[in-house]
Amino acid sequence: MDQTPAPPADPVPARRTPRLRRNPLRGRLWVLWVAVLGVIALWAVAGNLLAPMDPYAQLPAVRLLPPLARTEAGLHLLGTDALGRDLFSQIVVASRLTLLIGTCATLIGLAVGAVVGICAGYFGGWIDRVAMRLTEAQTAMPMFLFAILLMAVAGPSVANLIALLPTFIWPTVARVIRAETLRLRTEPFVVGAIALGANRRQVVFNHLLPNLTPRLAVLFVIDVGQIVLAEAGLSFLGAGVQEPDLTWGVLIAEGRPYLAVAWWLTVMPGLALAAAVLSVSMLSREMERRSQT
Amino acid sequence: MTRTTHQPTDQEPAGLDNRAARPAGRRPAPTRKRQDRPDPVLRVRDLVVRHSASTGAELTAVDGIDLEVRAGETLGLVGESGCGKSSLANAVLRLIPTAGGSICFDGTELVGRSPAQMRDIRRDLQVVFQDPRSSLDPRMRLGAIVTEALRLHGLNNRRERRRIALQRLAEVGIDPALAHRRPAQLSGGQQQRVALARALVTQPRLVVLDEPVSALDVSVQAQVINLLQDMQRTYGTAYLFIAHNLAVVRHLSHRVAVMYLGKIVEQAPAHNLFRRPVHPYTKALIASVLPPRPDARARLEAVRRLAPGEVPSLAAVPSGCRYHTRCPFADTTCKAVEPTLVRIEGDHAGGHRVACHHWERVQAAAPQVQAR
Repeated sequence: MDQTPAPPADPVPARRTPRLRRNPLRGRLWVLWVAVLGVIALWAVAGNLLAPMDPYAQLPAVRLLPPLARTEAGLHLLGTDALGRDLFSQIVVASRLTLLIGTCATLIGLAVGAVVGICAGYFGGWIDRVAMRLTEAQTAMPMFLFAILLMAVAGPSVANLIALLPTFIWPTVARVIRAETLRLRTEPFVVGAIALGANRRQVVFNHLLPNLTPRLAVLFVIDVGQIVLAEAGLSFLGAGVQEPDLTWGVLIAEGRPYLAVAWWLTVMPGLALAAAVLSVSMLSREMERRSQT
Repeated sequence: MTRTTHQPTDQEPAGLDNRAARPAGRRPAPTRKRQDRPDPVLRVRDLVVRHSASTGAELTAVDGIDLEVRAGETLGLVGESGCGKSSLANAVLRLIPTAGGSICFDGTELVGRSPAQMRDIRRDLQVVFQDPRSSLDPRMRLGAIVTEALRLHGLNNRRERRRIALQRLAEVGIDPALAHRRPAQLSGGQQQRVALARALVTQPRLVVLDEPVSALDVSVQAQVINLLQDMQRTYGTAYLFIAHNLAVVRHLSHRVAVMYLGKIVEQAPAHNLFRRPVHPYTKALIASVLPPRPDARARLEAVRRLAPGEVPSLAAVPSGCRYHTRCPFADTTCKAVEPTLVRIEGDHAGGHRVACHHWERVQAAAPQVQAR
């Protein structure tokens, strides 16, 4: 066009040049996730030592204090609950049971789902049909009602909870793993392994499982959140963890009646839950990225 | 395991299990003359392979094929895509079921063997697939990939396997320092060389090469082909070499079989087939793929005359001679009667055979398309 050559603009034109400098946090953010998980893991292992106060000490005079309130007992970092107990100490102590139930139940669910999925996908035929009808039957059931019923019959205990919670996730796991197995089964490297002389066990353990692990890691991350939430839901309804045992779910449930006056009672344990699930998820993505290069 | 043609040798340590000892050292190169080995490594008789589509329709991908591969020999198998080459390969490897016929490998009938019974045989019958990228397990390291067959068959201990892996990698031109890498870190040509090293690690009698260079760059193809030849010289392995690239087949094969719609239409020693192709389809194939020369126009014309139109679908195979729909020499006989593969010269196995009613007329009339 007819533009005259512009006079030399300022040495650093504001928006024109593409940004060349890399975000310095990029690629190092995983340190944060490791740190978050490390802290939570530390809480889980040694919560009773790390908690600043006795999580069960009731101080009715200082009930429903907001975060950062000070009393003669010390600084209530996250405030106090309806009975005047220190919320931060409760969260720290509750992390143990939360993580224990979450990881155990998720791992069991993954194992069951993976076995069913691999068998269905690899062997096909009637095994596949039976397995898929089972997952459908499971999915068709109103799981939450069913879980309440079972917990009522079996009695609410941590062990029963760990046994029951996997039923929430195994059908999804089985279906995902089945689909992935079907795909892998026709891959030349699996067919080639058979041509090399691998038997079924060797195909499954040497080739299918290693190639399914990224998928299982993703499922773990997704499902651990779901399991912890399901546990929270059951505990909230009184069919899960019973006081004095504490989980983040129990804390969220306890705080709910006070949502209007003491938001921190639900938000803070919720944040702990979110931070844990997010860290696991981000970290697994980071590992996935690294394993590919 | 009974190996009828296995030579009693002094080279192998006495008192040791041959099977365990063999992969560590090299098999002595086949020293006997061909005549002393009447039994081919692979003898396929009247093989039929059917695929059933989800619609219920059936395709006969391989329709009564006879083949022989002799020890230490390369049999090239050529044909257009979809003519059943790979089905034949997979059937020979017993990776897909056969609908009829027999596959005799090293004196053992493979048809009717259970997968468990096949496992022992697979030590001597290996395969290299077309796409090296997907035929190597992405999560395994190269060293483990190369020695997988040894591990599967419980041969050698871990340390020996590691040594063999490094040695074999070096042999196929991969720096042994890369043994801990994963396949994705290699180029396609390197991957295919690893695949070849893996196939040869048990020193098999026969390797089925299913288009082993088709997925590679032309510059890399030559390396892999030369490597295939070197390995054959070293180990005396027989190859069933499947390809659609005639130039490659010609370079590597001792004998060549041409496949069209599930049938073999011509089979001859490589030099014969390329110098004096007889079947109209073979002539067309050869005219179409050889490098351009001053008579390119004439060649193109020849292809147009010899193979006009498209390959019919395997789902609707023409009656009589399968080639009659495209053949300029076809007459009513061709439409009605399926020609058999007849020997037109040479001895029983090594001779030139063709399946054409009018091969004499074709030979006299068709322009001389031949390779240099």
